[in-house]
Amino acid sequence: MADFAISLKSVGKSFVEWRERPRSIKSILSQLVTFRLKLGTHVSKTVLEEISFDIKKGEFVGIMGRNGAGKSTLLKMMGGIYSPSKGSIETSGKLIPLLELGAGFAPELNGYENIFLNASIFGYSSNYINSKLNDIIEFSELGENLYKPVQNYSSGMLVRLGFSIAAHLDAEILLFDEILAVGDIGFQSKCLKKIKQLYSGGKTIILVTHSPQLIEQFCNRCIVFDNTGVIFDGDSKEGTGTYRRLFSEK
Amino acid sequence: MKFTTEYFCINNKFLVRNLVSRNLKIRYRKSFFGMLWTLLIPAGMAIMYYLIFHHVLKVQIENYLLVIIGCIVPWTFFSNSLGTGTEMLVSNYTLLNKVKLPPQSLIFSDASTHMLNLILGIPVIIATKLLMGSDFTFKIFQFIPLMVALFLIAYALSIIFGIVYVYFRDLKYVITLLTQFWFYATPVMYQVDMVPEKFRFLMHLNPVGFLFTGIQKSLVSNSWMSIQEVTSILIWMSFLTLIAFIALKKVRYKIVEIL
Repeated sequence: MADFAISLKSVGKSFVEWRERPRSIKSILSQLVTFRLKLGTHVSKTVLEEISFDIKKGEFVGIMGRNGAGKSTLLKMMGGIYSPSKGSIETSGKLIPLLELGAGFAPELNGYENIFLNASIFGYSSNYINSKLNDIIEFSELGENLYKPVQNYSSGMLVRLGFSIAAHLDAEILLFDEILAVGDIGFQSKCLKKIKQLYSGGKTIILVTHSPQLIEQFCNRCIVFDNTGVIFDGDSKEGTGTYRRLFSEK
Repeated sequence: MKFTTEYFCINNKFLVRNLVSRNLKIRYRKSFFGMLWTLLIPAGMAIMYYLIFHHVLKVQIENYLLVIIGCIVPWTFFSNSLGTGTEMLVSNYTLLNKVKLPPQSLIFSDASTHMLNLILGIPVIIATKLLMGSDFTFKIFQFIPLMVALFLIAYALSIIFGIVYVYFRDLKYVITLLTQFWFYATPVMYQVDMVPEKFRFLMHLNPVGFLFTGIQKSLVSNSWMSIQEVTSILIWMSFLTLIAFIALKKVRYKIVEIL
């Protein structure tokens, strides 16, 4: 068994963006006639460059950075949703990404049905889900709302359900992308307590957040991103300091 | 090995089951007849076609109603699979973009949902066969491998179209038109020997052409399929499966980013 949970080796990611051109029938016709029909252009944009670090088993890592610094892209690559354009990412152990509110839910189905759908998307069998069902339902505190279609859920209810599922499935690695912010204070602190409990149980936790307090309070390591690369990797107190300085310079 | 487990979602059977049940729940939510519609629509269409083609256009085929019902049920499966299967990747982009999910599992479960509907239609075909006093022989069992082949062809085509649809949204309209053409290019309402001999080779260009001939042979004329017909089906099936698999392998991460 490897001692790392996630290992990144000179990972880079660039996207090809599709810019649609403003079109009118006249311009399309004239382009068609001259055989130069172009509906748009591809623009390549580098989001991350040469990122290398290992996250060890049982670490609690906070990831910070400006909006658009590539944090979510990195998380998506860790979660296996995107593949890196350069370099390689290795993960060891079952991983659950919790990247966006309501992702992996079918809006037309109710919360109860969505527990099964969501957990099977993460690769769990029905028997296994049944054994965790009570914990999930109890933790979510949704009560009667559990039997309402998810499309009628508030964002707080969505995060309750999503977090409860992810936290009770016994994955070794958990990725959270700034989703806890929408829960009310009561649920937030309940989530953080649960995360802490998972952490002391030896799980690897990776949390993207903009809250320095959260990082200082919980994480044993902080990684700060800026301009497509890692600018800080180390102690969480120093990390939040680096993060704050990003904004104070101007 | 990797090919089969990945392509046929063998490691994801719970996922496929849950996606199928989601499809069924969504499709029949707030509908009074629910699943019954999957029988009512082909039955209604079959009766309509029968009245027009038999009584107005005077098509003379033995057991014509059985030909129509026997072929309409698989055809409904085929055209519905292409219709909804093509859109599966695009309409489920939140699943692909936010959680890790093998894209083919969405299409596989969609085709499986339609296959369930087809299976529900089989008793109607059998009942029609009984009512028309048509003989039952062993040859009817050809129907089962034919449905497996039809499923695989529909699945492969849905993957191919689904991927193209991510890039070219015009495809949706093309598919609507295409399935209309395809319906008349396939021996659903007629028999393949009614096609003039010099054009009959064109049937080889139709991936499901001889498949529907086979359906008619197994259900209506109680005869074995010819080697030539079986070969045509097998070649199309393997060819499309291979293309779908390669395409999936090539663009599986790209489509997630483009969606």
